[in-house]
Amino acid sequence: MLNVLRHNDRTNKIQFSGYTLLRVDHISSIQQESLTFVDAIIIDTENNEHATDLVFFIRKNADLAIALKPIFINNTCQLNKTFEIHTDGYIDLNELSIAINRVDIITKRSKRISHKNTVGHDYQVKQKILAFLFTRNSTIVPITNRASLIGYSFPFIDLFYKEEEVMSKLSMLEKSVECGHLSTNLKDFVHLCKRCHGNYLNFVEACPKCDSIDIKAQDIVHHFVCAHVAPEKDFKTKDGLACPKCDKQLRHIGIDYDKPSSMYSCNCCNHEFQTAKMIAKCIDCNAENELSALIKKAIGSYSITSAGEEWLRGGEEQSSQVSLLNDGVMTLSLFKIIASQELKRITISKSTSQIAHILFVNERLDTFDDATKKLLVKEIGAIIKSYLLPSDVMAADNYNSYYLLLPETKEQFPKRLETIQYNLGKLLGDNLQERLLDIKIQTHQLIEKETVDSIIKQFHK
Amino acid sequence: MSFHIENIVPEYINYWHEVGLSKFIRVFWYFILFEFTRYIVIDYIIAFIFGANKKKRAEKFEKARQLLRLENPFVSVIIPGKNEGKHLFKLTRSLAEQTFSNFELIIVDDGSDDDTPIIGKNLERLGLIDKFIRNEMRGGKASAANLALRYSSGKFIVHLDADCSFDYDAIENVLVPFYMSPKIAAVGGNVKVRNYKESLCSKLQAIEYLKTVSVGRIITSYLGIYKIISGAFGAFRADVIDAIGGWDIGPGLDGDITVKIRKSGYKVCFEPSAICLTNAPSKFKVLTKQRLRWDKSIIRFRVRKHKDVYFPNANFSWSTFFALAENVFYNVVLDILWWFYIIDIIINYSSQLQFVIPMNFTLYFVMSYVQMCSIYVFSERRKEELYLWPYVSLMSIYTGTYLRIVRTAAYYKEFFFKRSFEDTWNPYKSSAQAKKAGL
Ligand SMILES: [Zn+2]
Ligand SMILES: [Zn+2]
Ligand SMILES: [Zn+2]
Ligand SMILES: [Zn+2]
Ligand SMILES: [Zn+2]
Repeated sequence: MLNVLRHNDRTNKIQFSGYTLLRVDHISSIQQESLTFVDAIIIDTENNEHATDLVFFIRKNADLAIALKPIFINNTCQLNKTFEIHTDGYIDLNELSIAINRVDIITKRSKRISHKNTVGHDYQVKQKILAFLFTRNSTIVPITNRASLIGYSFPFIDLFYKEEEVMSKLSMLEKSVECGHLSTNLKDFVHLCKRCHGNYLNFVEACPKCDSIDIKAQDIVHHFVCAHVAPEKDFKTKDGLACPKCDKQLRHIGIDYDKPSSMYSCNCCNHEFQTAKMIAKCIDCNAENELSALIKKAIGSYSITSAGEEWLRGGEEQSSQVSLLNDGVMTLSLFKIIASQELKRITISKSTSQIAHILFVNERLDTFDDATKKLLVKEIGAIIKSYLLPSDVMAADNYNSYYLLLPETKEQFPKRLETIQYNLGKLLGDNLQERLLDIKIQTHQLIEKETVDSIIKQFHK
Repeated sequence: MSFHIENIVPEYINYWHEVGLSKFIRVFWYFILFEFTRYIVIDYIIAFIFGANKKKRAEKFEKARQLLRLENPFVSVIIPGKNEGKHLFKLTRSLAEQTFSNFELIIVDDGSDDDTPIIGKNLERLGLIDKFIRNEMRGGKASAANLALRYSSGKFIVHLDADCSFDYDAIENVLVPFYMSPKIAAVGGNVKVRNYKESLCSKLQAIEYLKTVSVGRIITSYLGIYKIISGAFGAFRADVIDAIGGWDIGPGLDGDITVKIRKSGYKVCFEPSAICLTNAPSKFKVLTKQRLRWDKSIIRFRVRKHKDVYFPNANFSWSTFFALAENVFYNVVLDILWWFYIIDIIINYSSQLQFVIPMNFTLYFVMSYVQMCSIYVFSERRKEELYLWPYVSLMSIYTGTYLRIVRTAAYYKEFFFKRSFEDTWNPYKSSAQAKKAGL
C-alpha cells in the first residue's frame, strides 16, 4: 500500500546535516534528476529487477563522481542477497546519522580523486575499482555463490563484467596486483572448465584407453606359498577363497595370503589398468576436462595499495615522475637502503646525521595542469639539488613529497633547508599566489636502533 | 727374470715327463676325468658337429623366421622388479628399436621404495609402457612375474630384467625357435656382460658368462639337456606357462620354471643369436652374495624340490633326468669330489706339492685358453671379446678357487640349514610359508 503511494511521489529528497539523500524506487525517477547534486541514493523497492537497474545505472555512469555515490537500501525492503553486496548496505531512515557518517567519508575521499577521461574498458573499470576501494577505505571480499560461473562473486567488480567475461575480470585483477596498485589476500583456488570457465564440475574415474567411466576395481590376491597372483575373483569359491594354482584354501590374510594392490578393468574395452584417469566433467557445457587441462585460478580479497592511491590521483602523469627520477633523484626504495646503511654507520662512528622530509601540503601541485606540473616538478628538483651538499642524498616519493638524507649534519634545522623552503615558496608564489605555509619541512636526527620505515611513518603523522 | 722362468719351468715339466703317464693320470685324475673331458673334448666335438651343420641350421632358422614373420604373433614383454624405475626409460627406448614390434610392455613394480611408481605411471601415461602395475607390498620376484603373467594377453611371454639392453633383433631371434618345433615351450636368450671393462671382477665374469652361458648353453641345448633360462632374457609359450601355474617361489626360479616345463613334456632350448647385455656385479663382495644365492638354489630345487626326476615314474624323461643330473653332477658332486681330490693329494703326495701345484695351474691355464678358442668359434662379438683374452690367465684362480669356495659354503649352508628360506631376497611372509610347505 505504502509502495503505491511512493510511486506517485516520484522524487523524494531527504536533507540531513548538509547532505542530500535521494530516495528512489525505479530508474525513471533518477533519469531526469541531476545526480551531481545528490550525495547518496536510497533504494526503496522490493522489486529486485528495479533495484538492479538502479545500481547498474549509477555504478556504470561515465562520470566517476556519480558512479561512486553511496547506494543504500531502505531496511524496510528485502532484496536478494547476491544483489546486496553491490551496495553500501542497509539504511534506517529513522537513524540516518550512521549512514551520513559513511556518506561524509565517501564524499570527501571522492574529491581527492582526479576525474580524468580515460580510454579502454579495462582501464576505466580498473579506475572505478581502485576509486571504490579508496572511497570506501575497505577491502573487496569474494563471496561464495553457486549462481556464479566460478563459484565466487566479487562485490562491485562483478557489475562491470558479464558472466562469460570472467577470465578478463580475473586477469584485470591479476594485472593490477602485478603492477602494485592492488594487494591481494589469497582466499581459495578454483579449477575451471577449459571450454566455458565454469567451476561446476563432476569428477569421475575413467578408463585411460577409451575414456569410459564403466570401470570396476578388483583386489589382487597373492598366495604366498605358490606365488600365485590374480584378481580376487579368480580365487572366489562358494565357501571363501581357494587358490586356483595349488588348490589350497586361503584362510588368514597376512599369514598365507595378502592383497598387495588392486586393478581396474574396463567393461567397455576390457582394458586392465591400475591408475584410472580422472576426468572433470563440466555440468554447464558437458566438456570432459583432463585434470591437467583445468584452469587454476586464485581467488582473493583485494585492497588498494598506496601506489594504487597514487595512481588514482596522478593517473598517467606517472611518466613525469620518471623524468624527475632520471634527473639524479633516486627512488624511495633505494633511499631507504642508503639511509639504513647510514644508520649503521652512525652507530659505529657516533656522528650525527639527519633525514628531512619536504611536503607540498594538500597536494597543491595536483591543482596545476599537466604541462605546468611537469615544469614545476623539474624546477623543484633543480632548486632542492642546488642547495644540497655533495654528500646529501635526495629521493622523491611522488612530486608532492621529497626525502633528504643529510649526513654529518648537527643543526636541528640546517641553513640549507631554510634556503630551500624559501626558494620553493617563492617558486609556488610566482606561479600561484601561495604562501610559505603550504610547504612543510620536517627533520629527524638519526638515532641508533631505529628503522628508516619508522622515521618515514613519523613524518606522515 | 726370464732366466729364472727358463730354469723353473722345465724342472716340473721334466718331472712329470719322467714319472710317466700312469702316475700323471693318478695325480691329475680330477682334471683329466672331469675338466678335460667336459670342457675340452665335448666342446670340440660339439663345435665340430655344429660347424658341419652350420648351413643346415641356418636354413632351418631362416624358415622358422619366415613363419614367425608371417604369423606376427602378439607378444607380452614382462618386467617384474623392485626399484628398477631408473632403468625404465632407457629400456623402453631399447625395445623401440626392435625388429619385432608387435608386443605389449608390462612392468610390475614389486613394492619399490624409490621413485619407481612415479616414473612408471608417467611412462604409462605417455604410452611408453602398456601396463604399469604397482604392488604396494612386496611379494617377491615370482609373485611379481605371475602378476604380470595374469595381465598379459600375448601368445608368448618374454621375460626381461629392467637393467638389460638388447641387440636390435634379440626379441625376434628369441621367438624363432618356437616355429622350429611345436615341442619347444621355452627359449633362453644369450646373456653377455655389458660392463666387462668396469673392473677385474666384471672382466672375469664376462669370460665366465662366455664359457658357461654362451658356449655352455649351446652345447647343453644341442644335447637336449639345457636346464636354465636366464631371468634376464627368456621367452615362454603363454599356454604352457599358464598350465604349469607360472613361477614358483624363488630364489632360483629361473631354473625352476625350466624344470617344470621339461617335466610337463616340453622342450627347452637356447638361442645364441638372441643377445642381451647385462651389468654384472663389479665388486667381489656383491658377486659373492649373488653366487651364494644361486648355489643355494641348486640344492633347494635340483636336489630337494625336484628330486622326483631322478626316479622312474610316469613322467620320467631321460633328457630331464640328464639335464638335472648334469647340473647336479657338475656342481654339487664335482664340488665334493674336488675336496676329496685335495685330501687325496695332501695325504699321498704331500712331498711332491712343488711339482703338483704348478702343474695343476699350468693345466688349467692351458685349458682356459684352449676353451677360449672354442668361444671364439661361436661368438658374434669376436673382436670386442679379444679384449678379455689376457684375463683368461686368471680364470683358474677365479673358477678353480674363488667360485669353488663360495659354492661349497653355499651348499653347506643350504644342505644342512636350509638358509635360502632366510634370504631377504624373498619377503619373510613368503619364505615362512614356503618352508612350512617344504618347498
Ligand atoms: Zn556442503
Ligand atoms: Zn564447461
Ligand atoms: Zn571403449
Ligand atoms: Zn596357491
Ligand atoms: Zn576402456
